[in-house]
Amino acid sequence: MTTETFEADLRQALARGAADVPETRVDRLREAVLEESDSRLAGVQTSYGSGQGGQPSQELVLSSTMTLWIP
Amino acid sequence: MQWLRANAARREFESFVADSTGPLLRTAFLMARDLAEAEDLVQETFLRVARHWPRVCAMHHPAAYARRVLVNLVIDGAERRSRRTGELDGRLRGLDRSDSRAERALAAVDVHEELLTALAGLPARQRAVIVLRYWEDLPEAEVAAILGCSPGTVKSTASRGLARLREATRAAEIAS
Repeated sequence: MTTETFEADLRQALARGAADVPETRVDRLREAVLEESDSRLAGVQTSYGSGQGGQPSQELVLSSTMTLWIP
Repeated sequence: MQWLRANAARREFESFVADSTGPLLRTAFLMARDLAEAEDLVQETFLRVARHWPRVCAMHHPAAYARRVLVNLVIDGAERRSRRTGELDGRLRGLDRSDSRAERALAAVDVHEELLTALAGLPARQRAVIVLRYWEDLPEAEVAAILGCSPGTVKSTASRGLARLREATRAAEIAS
């Protein structure tokens, strides 16, 4: 197999692998990112006493597993 | 977070997410070979992009910045993924190739699938270089900028990765 043939096979394999990502999953992720940022940024929760030295802190929850603390 | 409350910046960010989600998710999937993990990586990428959006937005190619964040997340998390891949490799090595059922199963795996499986077994940086060069079609200089290395290093890394992939496909051909 020549280098060109092998590289062509590799490109086809990668295209095929990429095609394994269903468009529905792309749509779902896109919506999730936008919805999370919409809802969380519109209503940033503020809590007191749990931040460093009792300073106010804001908790920005971007997903069920992802939380960003804003001092 | 004032910037995100600004409607113009917000709309730009939304447009960026709308345009970039598909390409980033596909690239992440090719590197991680796990859709759920790829989704997490892309979500984390958007989080990091959002935190620096005014600066990212002002860049000539915000998508290139996001791709750079994603690739580095993939490489940073490689240890965890390589453990999983190692388990998979172990299972494949455990197949007795003298077993006719195993031979038939291996023969049924076509060359593209074999390439993707072999790709998943490459070290993270080799995998990233292969995906960026042969899926994203990026020039060596751009891949080098993403990975923070020289174009020469990209070239040699790609060469080693291709050699391993060729070896894997040859082994599959022999098995079939």
